[in-house]
Amino acid sequence: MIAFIIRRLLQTVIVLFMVSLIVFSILQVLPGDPARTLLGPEASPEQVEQIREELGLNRSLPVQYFTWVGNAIKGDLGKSIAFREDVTGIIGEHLPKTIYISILSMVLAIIIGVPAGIIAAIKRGGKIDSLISVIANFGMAVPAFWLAVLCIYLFSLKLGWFPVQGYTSPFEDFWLSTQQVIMPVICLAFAALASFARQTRSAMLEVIMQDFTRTARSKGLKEGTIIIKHTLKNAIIPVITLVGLQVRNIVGSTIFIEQVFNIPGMGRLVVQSIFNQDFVVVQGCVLVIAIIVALTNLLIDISYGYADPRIRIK
Amino acid sequence: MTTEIIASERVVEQEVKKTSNTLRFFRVFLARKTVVASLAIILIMIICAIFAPLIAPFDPYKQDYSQILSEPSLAHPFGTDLVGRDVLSRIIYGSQAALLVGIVSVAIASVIGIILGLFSGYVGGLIDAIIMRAMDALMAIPPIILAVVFVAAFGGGLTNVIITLGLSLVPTYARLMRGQVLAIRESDFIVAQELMGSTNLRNMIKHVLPNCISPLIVLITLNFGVAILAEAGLSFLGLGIVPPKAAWGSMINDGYKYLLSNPILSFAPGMAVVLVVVAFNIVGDALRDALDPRLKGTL
Amino acid sequence: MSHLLEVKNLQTHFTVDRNVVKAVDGVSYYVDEGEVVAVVGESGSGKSVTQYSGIQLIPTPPGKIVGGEVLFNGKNLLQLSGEELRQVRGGEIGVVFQEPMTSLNPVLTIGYQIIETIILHLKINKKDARKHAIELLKSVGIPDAEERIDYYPHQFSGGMRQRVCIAMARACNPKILIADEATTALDVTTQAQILEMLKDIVKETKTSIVLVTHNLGIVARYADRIYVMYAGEIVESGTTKEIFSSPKHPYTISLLNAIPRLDDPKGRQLIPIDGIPPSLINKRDICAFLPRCLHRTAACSFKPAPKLESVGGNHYTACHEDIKAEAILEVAAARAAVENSSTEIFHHRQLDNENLLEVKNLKMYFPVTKGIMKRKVADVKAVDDVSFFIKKGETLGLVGESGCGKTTIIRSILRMYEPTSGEVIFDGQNIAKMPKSKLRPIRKNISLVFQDPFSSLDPRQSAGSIVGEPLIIHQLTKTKQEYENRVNELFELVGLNPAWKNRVPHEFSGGQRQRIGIARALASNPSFIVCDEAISALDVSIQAQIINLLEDLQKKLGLTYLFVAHDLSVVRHISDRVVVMYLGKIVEVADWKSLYENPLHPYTKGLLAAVPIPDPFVEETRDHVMLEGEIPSVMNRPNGCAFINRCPMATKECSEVEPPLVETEEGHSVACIKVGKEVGL
Repeated sequence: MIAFIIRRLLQTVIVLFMVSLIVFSILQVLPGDPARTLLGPEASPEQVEQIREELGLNRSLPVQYFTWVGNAIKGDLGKSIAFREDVTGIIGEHLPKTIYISILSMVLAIIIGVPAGIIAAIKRGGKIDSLISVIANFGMAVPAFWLAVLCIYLFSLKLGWFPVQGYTSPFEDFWLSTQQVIMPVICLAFAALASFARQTRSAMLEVIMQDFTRTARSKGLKEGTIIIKHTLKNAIIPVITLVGLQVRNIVGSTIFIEQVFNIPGMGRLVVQSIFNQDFVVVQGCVLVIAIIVALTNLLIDISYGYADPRIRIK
Repeated sequence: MTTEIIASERVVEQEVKKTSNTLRFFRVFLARKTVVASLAIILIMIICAIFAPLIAPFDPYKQDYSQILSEPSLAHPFGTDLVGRDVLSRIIYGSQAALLVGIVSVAIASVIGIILGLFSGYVGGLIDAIIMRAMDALMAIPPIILAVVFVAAFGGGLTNVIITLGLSLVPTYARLMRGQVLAIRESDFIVAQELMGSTNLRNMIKHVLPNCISPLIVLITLNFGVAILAEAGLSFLGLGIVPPKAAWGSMINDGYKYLLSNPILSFAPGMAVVLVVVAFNIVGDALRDALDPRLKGTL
Repeated sequence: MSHLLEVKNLQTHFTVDRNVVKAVDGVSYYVDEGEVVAVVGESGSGKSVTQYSGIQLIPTPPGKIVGGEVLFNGKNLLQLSGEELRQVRGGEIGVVFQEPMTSLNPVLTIGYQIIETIILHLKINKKDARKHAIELLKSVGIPDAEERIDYYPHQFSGGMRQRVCIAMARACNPKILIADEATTALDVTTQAQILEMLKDIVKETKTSIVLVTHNLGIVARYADRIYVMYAGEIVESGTTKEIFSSPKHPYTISLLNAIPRLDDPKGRQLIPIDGIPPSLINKRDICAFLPRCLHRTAACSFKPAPKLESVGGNHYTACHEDIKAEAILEVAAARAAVENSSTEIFHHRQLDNENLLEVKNLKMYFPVTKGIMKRKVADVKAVDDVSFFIKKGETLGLVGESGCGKTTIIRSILRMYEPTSGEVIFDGQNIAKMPKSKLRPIRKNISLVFQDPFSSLDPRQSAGSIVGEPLIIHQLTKTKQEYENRVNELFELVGLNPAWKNRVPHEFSGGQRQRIGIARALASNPSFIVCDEAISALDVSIQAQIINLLEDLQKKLGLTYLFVAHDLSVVRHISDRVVVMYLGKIVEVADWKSLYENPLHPYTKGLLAAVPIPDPFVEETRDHVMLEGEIPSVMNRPNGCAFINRCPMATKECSEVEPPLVETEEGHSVACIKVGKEVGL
């Protein structure tokens, strides 16, 4: 098991190295000269040249890359052109908000999606199964941003239950924060919830068809016991891997949800920075997001190994 | 010896079996009404995209300042937008972008992904490790963020959106393909090929690839929906199809500003996205059940 | 008198693609206390479904029990409520399934799985249940049961898992134990151990056992009574001795004539049952065996399906004809021939003296890696210093339990692995280290016939292009016409209709697919064919067809075979010489006659003793001395003689030296120091 964890850790390091390469190369093809953008159109060529020198833009690409990676490891992601601040600081300010709503969404998606999938599998072919299937199908097809628009129209504008937009830290005003966060979290969670329900259902059905379920029946166990003790423990393994994929999708969807609900998180920061041509920030954000996704996947793989005794015990 | 008896054995039954396999496919595939309805939606979308000028009641670009933000009416079933353009006509024209993005980006993704996955799985070793870690790296960046950054780097517009979405979908195909290849590679029939002295290239193209077709068809169908969703997302953020060209995502965003007075401006294009994506998902699921019942739940 | 279990006119149907499959079609049988009843049949005969129907273990839908009664202790199981039925399941009727690898839940410990049954039915507390579970595990021969009770299924070998399954099935002292092909997936020695154990359980506890199997040898050795099933019906029933001494149904007779026996005369021609079992879809009311029957008359086709009728006492058969006379004749003839077998000539064919293949000191080691950096810490000696030869036109049998290195040898010879060291001399050239490019043209002279007729054919290619593939790869035909002609010729050679060229593999039956595989192997005109368990995936009635085909082809084309199999009777039937392997080494090699009639190595003796002979009269006279234990993993190879911990003759000195392979008489070599001593070496 320890060897398994260390091997996955090494793989993650390699993946992160490749992510840094991708992110760095994207910056290279971005339009415009960062030095020129920084100084504005009135600056003289000499000034631009001086800034280029300061920023290290005159050095060879490999040198630039290693400098950037080296600084990133030290926690220095460069300076924002638009905010005139350290990128690390800006991200540090935006990241917690995104993490907060993402975790809430993930929890919501799992605690509703997985049981829904189990119920659908048990009542296979019945009315509840059809209903869950229909909801899941739409869940996977509804764009998060459109769902957000619908929610705002119905619950904020028509019913007035929740504020239209905005974000308050739960430590500041818990009640307001919760009111503000309910709709974004539901919109973020919906697609993931649908995936969990579908995956759980098919994993359950797959396991129900296995020989060992028949063995369990032949021992005279009750259907309920078989589902809880035998089927679920096996079916949960593929569902765990889905968590990794959904982390990625939920974090990705924050780009829309934060935009619509005006939440100052990472997603909105990325979009804003793109429009500001503030690519150092974009670069930093993408790197941080990728690291978070890669690390969650690492954790998920380890728990996957833990849930499956065939991996845990050789 | 027993040649004659075996030769005549159950010839009739074999014939029956052959036709019933094709029949079985269509029976399972078309078993549910939702699937037929989904196929109809997809067909309508394709017709809309191809014959948009014939179907659309108005010119989608024509601004009519006498009709700004008008309520739904017989002439304008979904009303008109800020500059008096007919929303229904714009939705019909919007299907062109959606369909084109869906087809071409999925084509790009599948071709590159299939080739990478095929080599990765069949050749193995260092090539496999490098390709798969690169795919992991691409997968670590959420696809929509990857797409946003790509579009920021290369600029918006139809072509770039297509290329961007195509690239961000590559890892899915590479991984699926690699998994399939690894399974098929172990089959005795590939061992048989190797023992005959057949070349790797021949084995990959003639024997491995054809056996991966079923799950690929399913994934491709499901991904049409994914690509259409992503295109709508990019256009919603203003990073996709460049206005004034009609795109469902940007229409949702445009309408969002008038949500209280004219909610239909956002609702109608959103409905179009949902209907089409649901249709592709349902058809994809039905194909999976019909092509290979064993695939249930593997995608 | 009322029976413990009595099934009356049971009918189970499956709905598949809107067609009704009559899987069980009016089956009646009974089981009394303390007896072993065998239900014999090939795959698809409905023998398992019959058993599962009674305790309602069939999946519904698509399955449905449409008629009949299943009386257990007087209660009709088909009318019980869910709760009552669950008490019977596991409590009074236990089941042991075929696949030990998939029948246990992989994420729960075996202890949990046994204890939950005990608590459910015996209503005792957890601590006592655990104690009981440990007792059970001990009783089925699991060593260190106290510790191993907390292991997960994947930590056990297949044989051990099956023991766990048996412990679980009899956890609550059921009155009936259903063993559904329970030993089919196991090695012959493990199979014998488990069946002996089941027999002891019957003796000790008066439990009845229903033995569902296709293996007539097992039936002859262990069953009291037999039901023979074909196409969802019972076609013959009676005591074991009645059925074997005077089989009445043409199917039973044909089966007995189709299978090779360990005590056969060498030249015996197997009589295959032509054709394949009928489809059970839209079954008509006519004798189901009719198209394959050797005793059919014109009248049979016009009569409704025959009913079971008594032919004396408890012996029933369902046949229109009274074929008593022929039956006795054929079976008696076979046995008479056995008695005369001692007078047979040594080699049944004239052989060249030239070696086609010579393997010298072949070693195939796999590195054992440890840790993150995959540091090599040891070697797994899968094949360790093996030498043998095959003469031109000869058939060499290679036998041994799974894990003995048979497959590795084939793969090293065929260069699917790169041998660690040693020589493989084929037709005068050493191919062990030959570069792949140079090897490619030689490949056309060597072919492989696979075990699995399903996975060995590309499902997307037509049968014709599968067979023609070697012709294209080696560019053996010049024109399209020549290619087509050759493919046609190959189809005919293996008994397939060339008109079927355009069909894909799934449109063929298992036996036909195996013929396609053989046709492909023959396409490039090879001189040497390796058969890797080539018939073991086939039904008994089809096996004989393929064995005969292989023998015919050898005569016609002068082929040389390396025949790898675990079925010792088949190997005996087809081989000229036989190699016995154990843990990567050859332990004995001899011509078939010396090996089977005068085995020297204790392992060979044990293997042969474990093979049941389909004849209850012969079985009565045999000693059932079982080899104990299981083949250890190659990783934990004992010092000295690898067989030491299972050998009845082992002494201390066996652990000190690795016994060399020594020739004791001409052509008969054995690797055992005890045997060496006996003959004065």
